[in-house]
Amino acid sequence: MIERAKSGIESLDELLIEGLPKPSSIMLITPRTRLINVICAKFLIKGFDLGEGGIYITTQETPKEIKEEAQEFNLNLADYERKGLLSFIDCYSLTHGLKLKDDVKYALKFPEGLNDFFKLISHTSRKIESKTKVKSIRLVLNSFSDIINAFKQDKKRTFSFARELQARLRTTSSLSLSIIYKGLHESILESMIYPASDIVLELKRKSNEAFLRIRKCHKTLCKNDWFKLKFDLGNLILI
Amino acid sequence: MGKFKFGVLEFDKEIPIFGGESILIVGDPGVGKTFFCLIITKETLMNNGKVIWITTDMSPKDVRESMERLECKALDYEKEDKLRFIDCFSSRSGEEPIEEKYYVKDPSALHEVAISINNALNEIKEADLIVCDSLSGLIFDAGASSTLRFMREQIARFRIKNIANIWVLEGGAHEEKTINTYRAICMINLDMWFEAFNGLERYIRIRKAPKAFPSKKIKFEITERGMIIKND
Repeated sequence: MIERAKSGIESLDELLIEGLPKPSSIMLITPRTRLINVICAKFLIKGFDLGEGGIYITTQETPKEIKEEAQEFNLNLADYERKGLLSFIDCYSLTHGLKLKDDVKYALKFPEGLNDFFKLISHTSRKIESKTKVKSIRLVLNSFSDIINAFKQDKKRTFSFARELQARLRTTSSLSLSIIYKGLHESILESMIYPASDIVLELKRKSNEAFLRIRKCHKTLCKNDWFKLKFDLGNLILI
Repeated sequence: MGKFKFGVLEFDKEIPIFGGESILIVGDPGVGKTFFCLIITKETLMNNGKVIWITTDMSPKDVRESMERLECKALDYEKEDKLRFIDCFSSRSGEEPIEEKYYVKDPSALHEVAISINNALNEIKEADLIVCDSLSGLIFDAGASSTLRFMREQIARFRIKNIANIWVLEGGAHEEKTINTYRAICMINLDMWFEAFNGLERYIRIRKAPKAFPSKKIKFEITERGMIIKND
């Protein structure tokens, strides 16, 4: 019997026959769009509803900016952080020479900090688990593209990293959602990450609308068609 | 003839297998390479053959679960000494899987992989089929030229022992010249890919096989019953 968990996008769960197989390393290949913040937030919030904790690893913005953007969509990540269910790992500020804000407990500087990346995730997970007694942790990595760039687009290191993330999830029965921004890398690098991902989703924009498709999902037979993705009344839905 | 079967009529008719053939499957990500290998494995096991599965992209537990979904009880075949897994995946997690007998601690050390294959072959008293899913995992760990050397040696050994061997390569994840080098050393080449029509359609083609012409592209679907060839 495959254990499955909800993604935060209802119709996606139906396409995946009741949800994401656990554990799964999910890659979302996407152009830049504000929907990404919503997808990441909804993914984590669904986990909180199911008794899981969450770690948001940010390489693109400060945790404060992420929380503020989520709030614009009525997604109150700050509240979950206050309850101890959510922790941010700020990989943005120090990398770009900024001072850490007071609310940041965990931070890494790229590329040196990559050596401690998994250790810090384990440490943060243990803190959340001991404080809240959650069953497992969801991870958001926004974005994997910055990891690739920190590795200077080195194929071997990129693949090893993706593979290590996938393997570590096996030991904790967790889910991770990593964002890859299209066009920032050679296509060969994106292709390399496929075998190291359990689920690959693609997002595209056309005429101001967003479309999502499942490119690969382990343990599941599913359609590969494009579906329109909408944020409506606080919910993400596929049409 | 050995006990190896593709499990798909078109290929069992078109590609004569006499034992010891090396088959390279190159395909787009998510197109069904692993699924195809699972079908072939199931057919070989049901045909009373023995299989060794080298896994670099999934844990042996995941492969077993995938086989269960195809109504092929991997654990039963393992108990009967007809199936063995060589785990080149779990080393990434940093934790040794105590339940896996053939666990390769460092897949970049290909001699370790070779030793595990040898030990597994000795334990089950030879095999009819060896699957490596995927070569890409070994190439990323050990490098293209070391993996090529390793593959050449293994193909030669399997040829002498009459063991069919399947190697999976992720298309698009390697330079074209790397893929072509690997194609050149395998006797049979199969290509699998997607074409976008209404949604994504899956295709497979015999690119090269002894005593067979390259085939036209064949559309197929993956269903719970297996791989279904769709005739246009």
